[in-house]
Amino acid sequence: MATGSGAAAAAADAEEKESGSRMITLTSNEGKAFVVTEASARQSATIRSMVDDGGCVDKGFPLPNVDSKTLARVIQYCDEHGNKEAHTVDERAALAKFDKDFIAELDADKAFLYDVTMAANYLHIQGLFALTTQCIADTIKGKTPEEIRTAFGIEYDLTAQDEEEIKEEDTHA
Amino acid sequence: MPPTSPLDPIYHRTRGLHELNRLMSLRREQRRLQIETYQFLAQCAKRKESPCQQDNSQCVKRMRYSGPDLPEDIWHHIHSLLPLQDAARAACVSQAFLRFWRCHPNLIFSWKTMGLNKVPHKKGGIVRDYNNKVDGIMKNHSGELTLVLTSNEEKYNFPCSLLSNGSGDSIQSLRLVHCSFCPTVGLVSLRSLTRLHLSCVCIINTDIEYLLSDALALERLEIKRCGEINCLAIPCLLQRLSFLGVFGCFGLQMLESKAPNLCSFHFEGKQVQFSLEEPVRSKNLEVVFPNSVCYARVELPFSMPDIETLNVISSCEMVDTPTGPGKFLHLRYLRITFPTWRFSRAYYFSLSSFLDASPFLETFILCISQKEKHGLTFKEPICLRQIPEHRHDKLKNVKITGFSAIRSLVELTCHIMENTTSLECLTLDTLCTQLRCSDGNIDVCLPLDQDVIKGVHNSLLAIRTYIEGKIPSTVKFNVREPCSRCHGW
Repeated sequence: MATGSGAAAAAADAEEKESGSRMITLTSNEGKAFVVTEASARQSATIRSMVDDGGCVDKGFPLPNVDSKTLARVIQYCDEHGNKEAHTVDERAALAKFDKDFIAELDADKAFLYDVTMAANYLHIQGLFALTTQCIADTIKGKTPEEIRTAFGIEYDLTAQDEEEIKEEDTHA
Repeated sequence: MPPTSPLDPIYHRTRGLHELNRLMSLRREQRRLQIETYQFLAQCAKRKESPCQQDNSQCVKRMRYSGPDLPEDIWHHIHSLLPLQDAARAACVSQAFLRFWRCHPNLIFSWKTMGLNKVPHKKGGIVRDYNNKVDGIMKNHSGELTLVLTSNEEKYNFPCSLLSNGSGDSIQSLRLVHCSFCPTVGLVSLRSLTRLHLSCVCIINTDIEYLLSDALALERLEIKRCGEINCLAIPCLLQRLSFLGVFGCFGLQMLESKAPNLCSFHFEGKQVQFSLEEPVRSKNLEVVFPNSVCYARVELPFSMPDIETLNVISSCEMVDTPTGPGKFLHLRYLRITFPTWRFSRAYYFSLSSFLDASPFLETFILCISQKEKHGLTFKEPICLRQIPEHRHDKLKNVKITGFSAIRSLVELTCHIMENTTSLECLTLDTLCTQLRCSDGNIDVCLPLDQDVIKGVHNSLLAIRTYIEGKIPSTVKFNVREPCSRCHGW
């Protein structure tokens, strides 16, 4: 079994192979290599299809759209979901708790949350993408437009015509 | 605060206006902030700068939209996760958010989300108010659409103008619930539509006929409880149609499909409606109506000769499954479900006629949903009824859920054991529920009453007495009992 912590995923030790599980190297856009188990890497549909197509498993996969900080965090998620079993109630509860803590930590830093969301989208990691986008949607829920603007740093750019249309919809309504 | 009560529709209107006025007064302040925002975004862009061309262009785009720091398609997805009220409120955030709202794919209008309180004595007025509100929102809508309305006396008339002048041609998915829909010939065009779902929609024969003749990209069609339709003909023009589901359309008298690539066909209703004029080249069929087992055994070998997967759900069978001339020469998977218990105790053995007519069957699943009342006494021996020349040499998996100590069921199981040379796995589940915590589909198993527990003991005794001894060592034999964790079994 590979180590649970992705950040510490023995970046330098590409040779360190454990019996029964292939190791795969992912390289961030800064050129930093991360070695992960195949089970962990397969959480990404993008990498999964490349592996299955007999792609360059030995050479590793360069990920030009993902920086090291983001990749480390994404791998943390993939390790947890790829390397651990989810058969019993307890195992599933442990994973749910991991997800909850994982997203709570990300939510504190919106810019980083966006980076992880874009990486999840690019790598097609369905579970992670659903987790981060739901978190962003939850932030919007129950807020006034002004609060949403503040929360996401959005500027007000509606034109008089837009306003007229909204007003139209609302009063029609 | 407006002086009206939150339950009054006026309150919501005034609130909307109030919100808007506040926004307008904020605009000057916002203009000032705009400059600061640009500076901030420029910084962001700098932070994210990379030699990669793609990244650079993204930064430029971010600056131009000066909005949310994610690509628009991801924001669209996030927006689609919002409940209607939140999505509508967020429209006032910015131009980008207004665009998301215009294409919000899930318009589910309940009385509550529309700020209406249904008061019986003014129902007519409220219904009109509701329909007007929906109309106000629909007029500016575009793109993919799920429109779910509340059932009411005056059905909202779906504005076909949304689908005319080419704007319908970009829509891929349309789901309408509780409204009336009269697509005007020559105006409405849905050339990209791949999924159409109509549920409780007032639409007449000629309109659905017109709609289907135009939607040439259609892959999936579901029609539920549309009572006005009495004749449904799927034209052969629908080359891509692979899934057809017709559920509870009780006015239907004739159903015909000429779609050449239909591979999945689901039908729920009355048997009389299910008369297929010509053979349907579908490979998967699910039928739900009374006596469907008998119907399937007699008719389908002729009306669906290519069938590979058959799922039959029947609430009652008036007669035993007949033996007959037809054979299922392609059937590999058969699942029969009885959600109620209206069968004579001698019924089950007659299902062997189905197996005997399916020489290439690989998987047979039988789901029985009720407990047995008068089981075997375990004193009498089970003498197999001898049916010659019915050897199964393809059948590999047999599963019976809700297995109980009923003679004809034990006989059916023994018949399969005696006549199948290829069997690899036999599973007998003593409970009718498929839900067990150990399978991960629920957290805690459902409680069992005393009768069920007694029935399980009888079933286990029947399995030990009559079946266990007949199972060759090459067959994997599973007996599923109640959960040990939840029921202390």
